[in-house]
Amino acid sequence: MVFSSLIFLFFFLPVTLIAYYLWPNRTWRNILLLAVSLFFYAWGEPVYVLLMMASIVVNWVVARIISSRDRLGFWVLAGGVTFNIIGIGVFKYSAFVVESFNTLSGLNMSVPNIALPIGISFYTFQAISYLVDVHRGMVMPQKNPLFFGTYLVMFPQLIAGPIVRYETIEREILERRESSADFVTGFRRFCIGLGKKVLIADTMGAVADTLLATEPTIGAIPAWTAFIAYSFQIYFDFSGYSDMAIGLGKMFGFHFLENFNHPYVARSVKEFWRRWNISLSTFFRDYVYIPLGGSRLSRERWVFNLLVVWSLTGLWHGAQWNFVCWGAYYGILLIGERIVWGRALERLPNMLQHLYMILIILFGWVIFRIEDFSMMGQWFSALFGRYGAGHPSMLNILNVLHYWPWFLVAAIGSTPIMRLFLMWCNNFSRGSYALDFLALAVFVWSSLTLATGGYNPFIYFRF
Amino acid sequence: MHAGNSWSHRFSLLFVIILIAVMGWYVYVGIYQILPKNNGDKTELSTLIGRERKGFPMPYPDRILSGNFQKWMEEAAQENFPFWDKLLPWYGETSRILSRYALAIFPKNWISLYPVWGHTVALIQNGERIVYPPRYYLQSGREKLRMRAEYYNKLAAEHFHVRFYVFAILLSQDWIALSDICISPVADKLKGDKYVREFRSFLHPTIGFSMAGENLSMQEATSLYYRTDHHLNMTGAYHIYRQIHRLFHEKNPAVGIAFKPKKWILLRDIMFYGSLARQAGAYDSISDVLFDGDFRTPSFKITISSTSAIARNKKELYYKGIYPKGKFTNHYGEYFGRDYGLIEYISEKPGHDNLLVIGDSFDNCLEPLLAGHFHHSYFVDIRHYAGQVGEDFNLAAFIQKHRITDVLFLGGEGLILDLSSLNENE
Repeated sequence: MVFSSLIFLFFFLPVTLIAYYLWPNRTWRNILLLAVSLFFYAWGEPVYVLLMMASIVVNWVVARIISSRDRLGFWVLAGGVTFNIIGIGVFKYSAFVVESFNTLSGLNMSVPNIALPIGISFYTFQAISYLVDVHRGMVMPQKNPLFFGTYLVMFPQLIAGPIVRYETIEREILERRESSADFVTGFRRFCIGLGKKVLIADTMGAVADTLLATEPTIGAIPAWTAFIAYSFQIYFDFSGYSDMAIGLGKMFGFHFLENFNHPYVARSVKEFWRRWNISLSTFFRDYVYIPLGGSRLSRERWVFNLLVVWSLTGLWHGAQWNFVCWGAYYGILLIGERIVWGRALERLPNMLQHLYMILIILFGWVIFRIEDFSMMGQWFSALFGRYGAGHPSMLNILNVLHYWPWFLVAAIGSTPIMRLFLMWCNNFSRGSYALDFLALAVFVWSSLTLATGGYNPFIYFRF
Repeated sequence: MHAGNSWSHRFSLLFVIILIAVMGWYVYVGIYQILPKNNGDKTELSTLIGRERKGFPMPYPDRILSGNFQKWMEEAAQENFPFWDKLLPWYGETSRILSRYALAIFPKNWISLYPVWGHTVALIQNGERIVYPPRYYLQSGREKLRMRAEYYNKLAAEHFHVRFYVFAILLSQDWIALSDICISPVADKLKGDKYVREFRSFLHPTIGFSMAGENLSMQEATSLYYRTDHHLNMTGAYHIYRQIHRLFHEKNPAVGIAFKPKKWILLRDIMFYGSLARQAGAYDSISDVLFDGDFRTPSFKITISSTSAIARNKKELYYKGIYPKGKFTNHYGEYFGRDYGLIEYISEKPGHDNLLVIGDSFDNCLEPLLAGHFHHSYFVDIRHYAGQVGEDFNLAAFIQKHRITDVLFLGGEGLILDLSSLNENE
């Protein structure tokens, strides 16, 4: 089940909220959250819910053992992490590994055809972070397996993140206080996230998918339009889901950390990754980069560490070589900024720094979006005018020209202007009404879009 | 964000609770639907609020495990949208207006299509016709086309004594791509026509191939269809019949000369708002007239799914003024007859040539014209065949059993160029 569906909005969510607030007891509320989360997952993955339940049991047991046996703790941790990595490896990467091996070796081993359990990357990483944090003594292991299950598979962040660390909600699992203020702001945040996903991301997705389904010979103007649209699609899609997750969390009394902070206003690659998918980049920083030695070792080792971390970051997004290249692309740029052009970049006017970063992000999305390397080269050629400018009326023939106002909305929505506006509204006694009206309008318009069968792709199946 | 002062906060809370209660109303609707009624899966809500809706399915375990229950629930959720019905056309109309205003800033020669309802249909040429937006084939489509052509080639090789023809009716997507003659300055960049030509090049030369709108200007090709419906109007149907007749005649002169209309019959009182108007959110700014031709074809004995009791069409009733009066009635389906799995025409024409047409709703208006050239004609619609005839369609067995001499694949893109259920049944 996805948030941007009528079945979620008009069945699952109200029933869950009503049932949740009818239970006075914290324990039963947690158990209810676990049950509805499993139902939520089973809606789309009726069989893989067993895999998820196995993950809950194994990780809970492993964490308990880690905390109780000092000497063997590291090895138990290694076993637990290996269990999680094998799980994600089999289900997400086995076909990729065999295909790559076949290509390199010239052999023809049969490629396993295993459906990817949705959200496996998110809950697996949460489990790994939990085991490591228990081993490091940063958190106490959860005694109640049902409560641990609630943390691991809570439906707001189950299929599209953010990756929530146990320490973030450790206390809230046991003694959170739901408040009407949180409930209202959470609902508003959910509505805004829904609008970002359904109204902006899906519209941009329709433009991008339409244009990218043609060929690069379509010309530079349509190609730029396509990748700008895709840049907006992926940002609003992902950050919209994060907003919905954070909003839903608040409605149930949880406070997840922010996952996006207007990444498209960044002026350097380093800043971009402090603003984009924050939970993922901090995961790799804390659980891969720093354990590898981070930047405290020799420059060569640091470069190696960085490339490993960013290739893994890319690979996390999908089992394709273009994702690995996309990650390595950012690794190389980070290295370049650090040791080659970083200082020169800082001396440039702000506008040029923004332009630099926007181009880097956009070219990055070309690598991310186009799986076939030969086609990727052709699309880059198209962007640089190899096939001519292309006539703008092509955009009308492909029925996407009339979406141009959405590009403006998306561009404005990518900056902090909207957040400043919402904060400004809150300064007034009647500002709350304006926010309610805005949330209602966005909710109704998004529901109407969903009801009329609007374009609603689900792009997290790879993640 | 904070919720502001205490009064506005209480207001906001009340507001959110009311909204969630409204959402919860849907749960009642859903549960009401899920509870078994007379026939379990049928909606009864339609009788309460006066519109036809798809019912919610029963949650049987096999359905849940296969994912069908979830899929049908989501479809039913769409059908049973809980807000006020009139919001939907209002939404469509608002979207259309916004889109048209968005296009108003561009030079007129850029604008050949106007959006009506999001991505579904578009108005072309200042409201002359509603069409689907142009389509094109994806990269993977080329492989599909090749496989499809190989399928036809295999058929022709296996049944070398049978004449095979393929006639594609590709709607707007490909006449836009008839690049040589399209008015758009960039139409040559569209790939549809290129791929259709490629498809043709894959076909064995013994297989006759043609497509609707070939060698016509965009304006002419547009006029083959109703303005508000995806089907061919009678002028278009006649034009296409002549193309098909040429294919027949090249391979088998015994089919005789083509029929000519003695007169055109116009049903003046009927305002026809077709499928595209319905999809466009009850779009009724433009409409069609229904007309037919008097072709004096031979008399036929017609049976439908082996039953002769069902009337093939309601032409005679229409002439008497007896027809459904609903604004968005499917007059095409009513007048020419609906889709059936198997329709047989036995003509007065003597001979041994038997025609099998594997098609879809596009050929409903063409049946008498095509059947008039053969002794025995069979019109098969794969989508309905198994359900109505009671067995899977098997082309080889059908050809043998009914001594078919000519096989015509006639229909839209999905049937002709794509891999459809036809292959699965083979």
